[in-house]
Amino acid sequence: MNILNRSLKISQEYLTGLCRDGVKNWDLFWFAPRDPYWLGILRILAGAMLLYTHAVWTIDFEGFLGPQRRVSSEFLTLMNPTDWAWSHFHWSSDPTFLWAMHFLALAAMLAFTVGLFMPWSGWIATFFAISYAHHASGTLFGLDQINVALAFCLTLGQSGKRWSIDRYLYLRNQKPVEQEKGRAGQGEPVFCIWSNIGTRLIQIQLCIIYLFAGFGKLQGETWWNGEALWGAVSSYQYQSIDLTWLCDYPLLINFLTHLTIAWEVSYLFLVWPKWSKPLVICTAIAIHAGIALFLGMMTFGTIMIVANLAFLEWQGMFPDSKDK
Amino acid sequence: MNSQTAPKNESLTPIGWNRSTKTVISLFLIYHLAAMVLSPLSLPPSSGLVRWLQQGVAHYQSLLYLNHGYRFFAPNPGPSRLVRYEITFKDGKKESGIFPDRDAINKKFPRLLYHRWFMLSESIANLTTIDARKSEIKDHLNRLQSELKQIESNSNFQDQNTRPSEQILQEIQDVQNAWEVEQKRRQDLLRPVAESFLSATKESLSVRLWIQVRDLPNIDQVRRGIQPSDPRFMSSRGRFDMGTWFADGTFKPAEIPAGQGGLEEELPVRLKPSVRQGDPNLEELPPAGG
Repeated sequence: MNILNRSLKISQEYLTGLCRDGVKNWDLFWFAPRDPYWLGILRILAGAMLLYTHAVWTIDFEGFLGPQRRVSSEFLTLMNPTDWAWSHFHWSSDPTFLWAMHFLALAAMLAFTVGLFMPWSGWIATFFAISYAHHASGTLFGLDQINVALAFCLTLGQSGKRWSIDRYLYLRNQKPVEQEKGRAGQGEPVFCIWSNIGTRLIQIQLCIIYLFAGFGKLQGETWWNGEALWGAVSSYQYQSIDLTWLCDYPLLINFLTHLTIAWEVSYLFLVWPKWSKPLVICTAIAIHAGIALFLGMMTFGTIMIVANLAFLEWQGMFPDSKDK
Repeated sequence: MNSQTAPKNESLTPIGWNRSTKTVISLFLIYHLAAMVLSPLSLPPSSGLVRWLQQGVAHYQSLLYLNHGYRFFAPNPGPSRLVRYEITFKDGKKESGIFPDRDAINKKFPRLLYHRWFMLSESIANLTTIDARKSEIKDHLNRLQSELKQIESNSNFQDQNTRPSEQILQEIQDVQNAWEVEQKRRQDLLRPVAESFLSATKESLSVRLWIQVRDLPNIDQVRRGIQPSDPRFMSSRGRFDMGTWFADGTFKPAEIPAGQGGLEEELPVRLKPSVRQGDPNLEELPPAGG
């Protein structure tokens, strides 16, 4: 009986401690204020990609997005289990309306990129990014998924408070003393909880992407026997720079295949500790640079590198961050 | 925590959120994270529990475009699926082509637009399930027919495990209905593509579409000097007729090879494109310089 009581007490203490520490760590992880300095830089990079992605639609707007487009609306039904996959393209098929909305979307994305009228321009840019993605089902790939995720998180994270025209105009309109204060960060909401939440969501989004990308690959034989990389580089439809000379180095193909899968599956666990983070992020940059340069997906490779920069936050990297 | 995260005693730190605010935001974050995770988790093969949980976030996923699988180059990097077309004009002339047009990159459009075309052809191929599903349905129907024949021939000796013939007939009907849905889906997905070709000029009479598989070269072939761009990697065995669309709005289904009767006639012959080395298509390729 005594042993039972002690066991119960130990269990109770353990569970209480677990809950207490869990709540404390949750609080620290999500609700510690953060300077949106780095998010401001990410906003410029991700916004530029968002703008470019949607500007390219302009070249064949009618063919891909217009009322008589070659993309079947069935894609939307087949790829979305619910009817909540909304789009402004469903509101009207009038070409004038659609073109007007297209240029409004581009204007919002430009404003988001330069940090003008944030956060409203950010929410409008996110709105259009989702709207285009829903309408263009069947022609999308990873680029569009990460574009939307970044637009959402960077807007939520109040990235417009740094490296933005809004910030510049705000400081310019202050009295000299206030400007000095503003630059020093005193009296200004430089640190912001939403900025931390936005950063954390980007980080977790990446962990989920790589974990399931890795799990998906583990179901394939070629990722186990080391041949998968050959399948990627020898695909004529993808390749932009010929890497088929790798056929003379089969062990290198095996190594790169194993490295890719090991990195993807372990990303979730190794990207957080200080000792392994630089290795994991450098590997991410190398792999995505490879995808960008050799597999013809310059846009996707670049935006994934940009997203990975959300993890760069170690001590001393931005000593002047308060002054921007 | 780090240089960008303010310590708690930092004078610049604004007043933190109270417990109620944190609770509300935490609930939102938990729901949002669940939506993010359940999307790739609910892709097949997935458990009933995951599918049940996913229903609770499905609308939210659609609303924010969170419904992705993230299975890049998985389970294996495979052959590319393209769309081949042949337009017949009223004067009898024909024009053919393929998309995405690999040779038009950076000539007609930026690479990103090429990828839009590429994803369109891949999506069409995925949703028209050109090989595995057909084979699955065909095998399933053959099994059901055999079972039915066995029951009919041994009608006096049915044991407890034998299903009633009505049940099998019903299942055959269900499978055939599913196949018809598949056929309609194929037509729905390809009709806008066909119409875009037909509307390009008033002189066009019809357009015929195929899914064309471009196989991957294996290491030995490249060592022998055969390049991935070699047109022999797009063999006729990797070509799947999707049917012919006419300018007057009519549609002619894909031609069925002769010599098959009964139920078989309703299903195209399976032509399996191989992803891996040892592909029979590759036997067509002579040695380098041959």
